[in-house]
Amino acid sequence: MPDSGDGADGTGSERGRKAEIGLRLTREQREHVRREVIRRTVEDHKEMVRNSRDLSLEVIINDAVYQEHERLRGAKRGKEDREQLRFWNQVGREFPRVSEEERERILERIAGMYVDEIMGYFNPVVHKVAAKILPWGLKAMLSRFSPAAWLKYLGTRLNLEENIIISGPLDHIRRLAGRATLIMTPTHVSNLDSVVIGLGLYQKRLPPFTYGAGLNLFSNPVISFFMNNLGAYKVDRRKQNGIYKNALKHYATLSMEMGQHNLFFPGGTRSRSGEVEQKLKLGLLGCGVNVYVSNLLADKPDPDLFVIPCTLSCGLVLEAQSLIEDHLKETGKSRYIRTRSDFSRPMRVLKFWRNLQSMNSRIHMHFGEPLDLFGNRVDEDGVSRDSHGRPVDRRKYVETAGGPRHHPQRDQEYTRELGRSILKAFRRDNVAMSTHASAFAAFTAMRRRSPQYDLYRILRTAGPEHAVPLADIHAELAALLERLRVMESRGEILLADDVREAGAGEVFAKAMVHFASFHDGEVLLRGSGGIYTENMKLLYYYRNRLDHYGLDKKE
Amino acid sequence: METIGIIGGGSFGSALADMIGTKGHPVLQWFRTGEGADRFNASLENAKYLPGISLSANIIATADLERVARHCKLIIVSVPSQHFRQVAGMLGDWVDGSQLLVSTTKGIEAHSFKLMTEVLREETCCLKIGALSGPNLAKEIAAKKPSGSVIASRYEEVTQKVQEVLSGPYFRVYSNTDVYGVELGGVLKNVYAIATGLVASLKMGDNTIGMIITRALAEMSRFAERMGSNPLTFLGLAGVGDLVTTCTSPLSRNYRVGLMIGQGSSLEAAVAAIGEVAEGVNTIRIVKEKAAQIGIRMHILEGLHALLFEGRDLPAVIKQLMNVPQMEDVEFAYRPGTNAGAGSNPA
Repeated sequence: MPDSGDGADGTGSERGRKAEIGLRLTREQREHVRREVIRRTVEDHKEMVRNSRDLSLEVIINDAVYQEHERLRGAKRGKEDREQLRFWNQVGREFPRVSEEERERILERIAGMYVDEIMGYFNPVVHKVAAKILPWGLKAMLSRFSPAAWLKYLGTRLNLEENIIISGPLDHIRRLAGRATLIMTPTHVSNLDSVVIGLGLYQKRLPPFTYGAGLNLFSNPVISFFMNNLGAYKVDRRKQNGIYKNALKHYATLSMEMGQHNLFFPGGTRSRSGEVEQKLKLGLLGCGVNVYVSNLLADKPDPDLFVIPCTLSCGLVLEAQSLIEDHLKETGKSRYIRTRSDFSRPMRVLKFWRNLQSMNSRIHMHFGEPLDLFGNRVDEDGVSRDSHGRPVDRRKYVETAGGPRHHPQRDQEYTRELGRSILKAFRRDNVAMSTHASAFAAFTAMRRRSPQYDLYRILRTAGPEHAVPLADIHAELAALLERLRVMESRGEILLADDVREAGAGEVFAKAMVHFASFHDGEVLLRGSGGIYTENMKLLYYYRNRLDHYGLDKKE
Repeated sequence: METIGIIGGGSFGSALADMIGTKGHPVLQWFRTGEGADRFNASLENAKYLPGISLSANIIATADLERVARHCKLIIVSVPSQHFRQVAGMLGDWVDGSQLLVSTTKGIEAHSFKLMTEVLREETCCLKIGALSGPNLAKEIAAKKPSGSVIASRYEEVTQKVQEVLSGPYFRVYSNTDVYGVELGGVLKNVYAIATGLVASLKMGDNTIGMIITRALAEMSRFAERMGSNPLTFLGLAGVGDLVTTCTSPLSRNYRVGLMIGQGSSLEAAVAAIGEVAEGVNTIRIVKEKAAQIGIRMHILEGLHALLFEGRDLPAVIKQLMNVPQMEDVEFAYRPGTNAGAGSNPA
């Protein structure tokens, strides 16, 4: 996993025109964004009405009113929810009785409310709460507004080189950041991902990225503070109506049009099962081609957007228990959103953070090869290359009748192509760590002892009576390590150093220590009969990181 | 009118070139050799594959792929599957991503299990790719007998352009977005044409033919669904349409292979006598292995494998097939949760 440089030679200065935009918009820029999001959202819906025989603004507003009422009915109502309910009650009373022109004004009000929520403002109340509950050092840090200040603080407290291992073509990415707008697409493991990525970007002198953070992230006052100050905008996945989705899409689009580097978690949500993303939600990612065509039509000097897949691999995961519970409860229904989890317990977060600091846990962050919006890799000079390395003129993809044209159906398919390339990168750049490999081997060995059980029955087994001899697990792990090493040599996966170099006994012993340090002696335990677990679901969660590689099949 | 490119000087490529040329489009048809192109330009006849048929004067043959890529937005690739990757790689040197590429080749790559549109995707930078498939015997198309086909692509630009260019008084083109399913239909039906050829040689009767074709459809759609396709695709021209034609027409090479084996020829002798590629023979081996990997039972295909490659005799294979457990008739109509009842896949 070569790290091609840390930018300490001042390559930060390579950040060109694009990075100068920064994440903090001026008052005028914010007003411009607000106006444009409202205008585009309203125009979109008027266009939909023009192109449909059944649709009207009345139907569109009615749908939003209904969905928002349904959402708020099920919510624990805080002050914000009560205000929103009042707003929707008022809209609900007004819109059936007014003219189509007045409905357009109502639509503007709704879009305005949404864009205000999405853009987010620094909230002094949240800041005050955060400052109260945090240790003195952090409190001192929070008293400063600059994200750079707290990034620096955390950077010095954590030995990033040791705890967060960053790899990939960093110089290449820095160069591209100076000539194009970047879209970073990380895998999503934990709610701490955005903080980890922020630290990693800072450490490696990569430019800052703005991103859409799930509303649940704002339930933790500490992280909420970071979100607001990092240029995060709010994404509320419970809001499923068309007006909200449109406003969100236009906000991201405008941000990219202005040259802000953007970060999307293309999986849409944290991986509940623990496995590397197998499917992506392409909605926001799809804005990229739209922006590219607009940039070409506007004859911008640097019209390009490039995508940087980023694979996060964590030896331990803060919310592992709640994630796997969600997965098992909601298999196939990823729309279920937990609003409170381990993540919203500050002490649990601190324990995890201490763990990271004390080297019991590591996080690998691997930046993949940059891609263009059509899934081709992009070289250091910004030239797209096909699978044989031949140069590709990417403008040709969006040209019709001699010039660039918007073509939503075509562009949607291009985004699917891009999604496939991102998924390949995730799979290839996933770092197998000792906890993953050991959990995989132990789970396989335990499952083999009860071949008559289906998965759900297996997941209910626990305790020393289900122990497996240590030698069996070592044998299973030794075979697994051998296969993983072959796969790495073929470029099919990445391995943490110990998984690449150590023997099965050492890898397993390390994993047991790591698990014990955070999961309170639940995952892998040693008894008189061998190795057993008190929490098969957690074992399954960590094992799943190596799923979909065909490792569960005999060679 | 815009110039259309055809890659390949075989029977189907020439039949399409003629159809497009007859509509008034200039056609640039690529031949592997300059001599082949010159011969065609001198005679306007594909003497090897469509002898005796005078083709459209709008067709210009060339051995220059760059010329085709430079002048044509729509390029139809119609070369045998065993040469497909090589030719696609050559084409990849000249296309720039703006072209629409359409494969008409019904084949599967043995070592990778890749279909031809996947090969085009890998070998070129083009993304707007489609597959044309259906009951399209080249000799009948060249003879201007009414027929229909399916253009499958995820890109509307491709389906619309192909419909516009190919549709005519004796050819209809329907669209589908299930590219993999449409291509797979064109690949799998060859297997079952061997089976119906065998049945015809044994004079088993029309009931038997009807049963074989219908159960073949069940096997094909079962396999395709597991591979990610929509089983309903097999109710269209690229599924049942192509299957019926291939399984009943003496013009089908695979049908003739089955017929000859049923009449006592060895596989090698039958293949040699046909002279052209009978894709179904290779497909049996490739698909059997894949079906085993993904846990799908394909009884007819397995029976053919036993007969052709495992030394089993025909009566034993027939006996085995008639003793296969009898499950639901239309599998995907009996899914749990549907009103049709709670069935199970007999895989």
